Amino acid sequence: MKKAQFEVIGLLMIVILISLGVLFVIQFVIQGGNSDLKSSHVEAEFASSFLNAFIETTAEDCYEQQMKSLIHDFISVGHENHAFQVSCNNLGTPISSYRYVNQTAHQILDKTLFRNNRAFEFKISWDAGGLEYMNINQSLSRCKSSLREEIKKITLPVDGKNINIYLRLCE
Amino acid sequence: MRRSQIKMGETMGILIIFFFLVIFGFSFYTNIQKWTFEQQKRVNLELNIIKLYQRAKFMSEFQCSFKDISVDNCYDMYKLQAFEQLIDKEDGVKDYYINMFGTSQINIVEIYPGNAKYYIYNNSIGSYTYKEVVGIPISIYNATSKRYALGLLNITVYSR
Repeated sequence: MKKAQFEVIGLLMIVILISLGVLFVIQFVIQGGNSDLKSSHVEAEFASSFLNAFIETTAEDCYEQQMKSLIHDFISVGHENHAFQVSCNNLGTPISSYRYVNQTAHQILDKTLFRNNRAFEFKISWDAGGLEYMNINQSLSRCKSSLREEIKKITLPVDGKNINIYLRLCE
Repeated sequence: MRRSQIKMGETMGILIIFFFLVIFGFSFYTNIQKWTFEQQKRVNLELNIIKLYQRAKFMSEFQCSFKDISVDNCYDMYKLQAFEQLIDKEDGVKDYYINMFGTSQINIVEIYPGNAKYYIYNNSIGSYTYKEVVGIPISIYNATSKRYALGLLNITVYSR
């Protein structure tokens, strides 16, 4: 082998070593982002705890009824059939149980997810019957590009139907 | 210039480049180590907040119980009030919980229907480098009126 060939091989080795170094740095920068340990755990806890706490919550002024009873009420008589639903808000202008649950959910979400500008969807639906009774959401477009989303649901049996209450949280 | 001087110049150049690469590599390695250490600290803090949340979640000191059966995700209002007073006034109680909760702050805020606040534990530090916060929805049960309120269990963990 000539001397020039040795030099070319030396140069190639240097180029390979530098490229490996650069690749290592790039990999480190890409993978070494923030840990999502807390967020993944907290998101899952938040969603399930929110749903459980919400359905157990006693209405402020609706005959000591819990949210789950009010949901049961408006689903069993029909969510658009306001006249036959339990009349809530006994401290002010009466409103139907459906509107009351909607208003309360808004009130609670205003102080939690809306305030923190989170992308979320809160939904009450009867999936088998293809009926959606309530849907409160914010910035759902962000869910499409979100790296992680958490969906939790609880099921309430109402007159033989399985009513699902969902909370979907997007990063 | 003689040929030997050119050779000497070449060798010097190679040595300069070699030492430059060694110094650059070493400083890069040091920075990466520092960064990894900071990341590890952050991960530890995150693990710590999860641990504290799990502890606070299942503390019989303020969990609701019906016929001796504890209810998950539910805190008894009267137990919270009693605990608040106890940790504040009784000697040695806070010391006991310091081992459990370390440098953190735990409070419960009612968000519906009222806005009551329960200060469970406070051992915050003035100057901290990292702070992690979580707020998880919970039920607050009033055993007298048998009503459930909705609140947030807020935990803040500090680290220097």
